[in-house]
Amino acid sequence: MPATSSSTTTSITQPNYKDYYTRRLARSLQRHAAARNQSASHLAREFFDVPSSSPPSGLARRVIRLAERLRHDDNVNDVESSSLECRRTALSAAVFARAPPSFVDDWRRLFESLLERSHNRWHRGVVKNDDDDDVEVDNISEVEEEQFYHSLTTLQWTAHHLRHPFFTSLHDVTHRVVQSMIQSNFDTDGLLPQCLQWKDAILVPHVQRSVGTISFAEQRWDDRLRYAVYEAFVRVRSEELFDLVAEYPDSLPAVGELSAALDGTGRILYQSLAYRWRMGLVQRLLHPGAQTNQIIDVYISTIKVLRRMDASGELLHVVTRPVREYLRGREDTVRCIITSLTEEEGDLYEELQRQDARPLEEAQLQDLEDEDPPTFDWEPPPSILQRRGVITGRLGQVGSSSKRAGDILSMLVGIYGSKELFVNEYRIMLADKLLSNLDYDTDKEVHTVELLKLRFGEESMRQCEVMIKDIDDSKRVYSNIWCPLDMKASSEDDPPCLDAAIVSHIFWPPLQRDDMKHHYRIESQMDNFATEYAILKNPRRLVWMKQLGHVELEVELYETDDEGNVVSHVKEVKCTPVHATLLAHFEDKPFWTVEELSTETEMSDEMLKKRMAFWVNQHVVQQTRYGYSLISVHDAHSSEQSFVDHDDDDDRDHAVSFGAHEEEEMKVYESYIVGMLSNLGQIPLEKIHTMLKTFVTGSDHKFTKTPQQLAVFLQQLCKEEKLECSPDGLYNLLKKRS
Amino acid sequence: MTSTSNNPTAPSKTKLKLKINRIHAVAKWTWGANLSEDDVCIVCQSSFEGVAPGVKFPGDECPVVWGKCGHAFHLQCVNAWLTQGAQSGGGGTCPICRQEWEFSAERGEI
Repeated sequence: MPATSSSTTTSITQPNYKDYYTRRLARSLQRHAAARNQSASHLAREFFDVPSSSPPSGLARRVIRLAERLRHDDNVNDVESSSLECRRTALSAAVFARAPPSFVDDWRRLFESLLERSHNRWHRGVVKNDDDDDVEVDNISEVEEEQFYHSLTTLQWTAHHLRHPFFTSLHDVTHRVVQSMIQSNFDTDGLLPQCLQWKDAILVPHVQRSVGTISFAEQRWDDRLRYAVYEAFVRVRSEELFDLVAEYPDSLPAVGELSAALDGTGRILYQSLAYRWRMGLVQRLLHPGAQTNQIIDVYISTIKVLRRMDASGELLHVVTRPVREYLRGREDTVRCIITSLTEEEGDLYEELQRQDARPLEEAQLQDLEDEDPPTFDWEPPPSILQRRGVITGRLGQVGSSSKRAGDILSMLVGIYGSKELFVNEYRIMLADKLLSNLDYDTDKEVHTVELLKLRFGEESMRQCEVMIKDIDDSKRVYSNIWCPLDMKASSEDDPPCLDAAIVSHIFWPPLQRDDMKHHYRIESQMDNFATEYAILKNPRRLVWMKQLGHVELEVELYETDDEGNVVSHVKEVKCTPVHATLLAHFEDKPFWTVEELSTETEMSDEMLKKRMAFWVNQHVVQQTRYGYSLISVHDAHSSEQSFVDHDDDDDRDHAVSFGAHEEEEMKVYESYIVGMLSNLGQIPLEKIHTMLKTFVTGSDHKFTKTPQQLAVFLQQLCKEEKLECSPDGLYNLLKKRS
Repeated sequence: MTSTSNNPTAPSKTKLKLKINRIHAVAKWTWGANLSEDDVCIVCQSSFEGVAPGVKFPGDECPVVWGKCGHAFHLQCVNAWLTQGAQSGGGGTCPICRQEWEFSAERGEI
């Protein structure tokens, strides 16, 4: 202050005029301020002097009046000290000091109703229907609306005092409007631009008029509004991610736009999106009622969707982790995947045929599972944001170079972290298919194996190739053998009617091999065939897998009635060789007890009863108190009418015995475990598991079992009295008492 | 249910005639009775019904041969052995009993 500095230089004897003037000035200022405050509080009192529940329009009118009074406040004569700025401050203070608790909420309602009103006006213009005008800004004229916005800029409350209700109303309305525009609409393109258009048409003018054009530009309101729209877009979509995935690929437009909207927002939404997506999957998909096929289908769609949204695969990894974990626990997962992979209408078959198919790398599969499990407080690593351009600001420059870019097959195979499991499962399915292939036609299988070779590697498919070649060779053998067989057949025997799939058993999964004795009519066919084979392929011999195969029979039941007429009933039946043998015995003798039949066929009673149920269901044989007998022609006839094709479950048995397969695989490790225990004494499960993982690294028997699988196997060994398990979970060798 | 069927001693008048139209059977092949399934070729340590190293398909492409001494090997395996033996100056001997190797026309019937 220049006045102060001059006072220190003036003489002390002079009367202190400065003090005098200062005091006067202060008094005058106080007077003015008091007058200002008085008028302000007067205005404020007037402002609030209304019934408590006034409609938003009332508030608007009062604001207009208040702003007018502020502008034309002429009753203060001291012009220079009562600048508009000072009076505004005083008035604002007075008003907000008196504001009732509901004041903020009233404002929010007012803002909202104004927004909705202009939205409805716009909406009518766009859609041309004027039925619903649910929001009432009761009878505010357009002139009044204009005045209100003008008053707001005069009072300048929006940016400071009314920040909260103003923002809330913007967000709420934006969310509602975006929701009404896009919800459940997945297949329309251009929804996001439409939302942005709406922003330009409604939000921008509203905010411009509320805060004034200058601060609109200064405070970058346009960017903030765009962000709000993007955010609303993402939030609406994150409620319906599951449907979005379920409707893929029809939902492709929505996926693209969601991705674009995500680009416009940042970190926080990535996180909540990942969280919601994951929860959606867990709640709606991963329950016992869902079929494995379904889960895999959704998983595949999810991969496809996420692959589009985030090429790095990190989002994908986080979102689908529970699905992978869940699938791992289901028994038929591998089978479902392989089925889908090999059947032409399967989802994965298409994936298998992709031109850019790359071999699955073991390292890549391991990599997926060895990472720290992402938890719910997963945060998108900077790399995602960088890639997506959120950090660098170069939106849309998403590279797809990442190694883990959601190759569906490797994601699925990665569930187990090992491709062996899949190859084995495929072998089992292939075995079933080949053995029930009555035409010896392998073209389709050759094609599939070629495709699988591209992904799983030549080496893994070696055994499958041998299996297919076996069937091809069997066809050749049959055509070579048929001629001599036909010539040698004596007239009283059946004509030769046997063909055989001859397998190189080392390369096949373990096949069912319960021993039994066939009926002479079938056995002689087999013997003749085997003899010819031995001649053709000396020194090789055949060993029949008696339970397997397929027989076509013509069954004729006949009786001679009292008058000497023959009545008969004929039907054709397809069954297994075992069934055929059983029935063939009834040709020799129409009644058999279980014991007799069991002795004759060398089958267990239990198995025999199970097989005979087939003929009972076929209405050829009936069960009696003592055993089985043929049913009468009359009964057979009448049953034919009510015949329902009943599939005997056992009849459709898989050729491959699953249990045997698992067991055999595990047996390899038994010697390792026994060796370990005899050296180290007592060891807990985890340690056995780690040690097997470390030491069993041979190419043939890489140890890939989970601790659970190992535990089951160890229990088995305990049952076989090879090991024992102490109460504290330590395993050791059971000492033989000699 | 007719009463006759419940009585095992009463002859049932119904008879059965079975015509077998087709049997599609399944068999595996072996190298004959004197090589069991667990036997392995001593040279490559894989089963006789399997393949020697470098051979893709078993059976015709990887036959088993017998020497006069009665020992059996994959053809490829014993050939490799004999070639190696010839290179190092020794004669062709059986990898197991070191007797002079001679291919047997018979299948090891000893």
